Amino acid sequence: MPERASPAVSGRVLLARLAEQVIAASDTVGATAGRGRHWVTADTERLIEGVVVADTSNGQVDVELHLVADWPPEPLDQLAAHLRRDLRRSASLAGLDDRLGETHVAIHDIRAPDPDAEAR
Amino acid sequence: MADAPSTPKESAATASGSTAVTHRGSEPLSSDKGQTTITDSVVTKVAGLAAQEVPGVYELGGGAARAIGNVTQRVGLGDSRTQGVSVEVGQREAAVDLTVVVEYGESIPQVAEAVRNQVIKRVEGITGLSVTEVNITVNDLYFPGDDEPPDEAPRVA
Repeated sequence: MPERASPAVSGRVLLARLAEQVIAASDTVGATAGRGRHWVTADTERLIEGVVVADTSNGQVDVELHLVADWPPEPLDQLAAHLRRDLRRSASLAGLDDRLGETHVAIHDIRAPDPDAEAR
Repeated sequence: MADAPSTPKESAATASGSTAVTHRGSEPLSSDKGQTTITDSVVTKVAGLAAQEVPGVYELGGGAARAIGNVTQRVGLGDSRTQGVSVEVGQREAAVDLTVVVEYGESIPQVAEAVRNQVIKRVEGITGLSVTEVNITVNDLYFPGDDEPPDEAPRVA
């Protein structure tokens, strides 16, 4: 019954889009969907990679950011805090501050220059 | 994701081979904002990259690891930056085992000590884990010219 779910779904997707923008704006991390491509959120016509959103029992939406960080990264707890703050700010500007629940940040890999590619 | 721990700086190992690090009471990571998860592979890669920053380290990995690594890298499965690196990650601590090839002419004790310090600095600084030990095995020496193909001039005219 899509008509019943549409307000919540639109909020979830909008928050996922904001999260995607926050990741894209960062010059130190990238999103990863994982090998099985299971860390994604379905937007209307595409998949938002590296972002998972979940409704909570209190009506908010928790957001998971699945990331790879560039080498050398800043301390990862600080990196996560910056991303949380940026997402909170974006949500506030979009009028979704009260919908945004917790933001979980998972660092899955470090992205470093490939020495073999450099040698080539 | 699970609830955050309740001590000022606490980590929780998860079943998926990752470590969740939560700092409560400080602005960056309070529990009501979410949890930060660092996978073990991140710790492994940080340790490997840190070791390779040290002058005198030619590459990582033992003979077998390098041979297998060369094959797996060719088919896009391996990563030279993590071969020869093994980490054990606990709730708050990590132990690192490294196998390295040192350039000939370098002081092995000095290189090993520099590697140890650099790995501790990077892993602790980046992940927040406390490094309890860094065990280093020097597996081989690299001589300049080892990579060049042998000069195969004909032995007879």
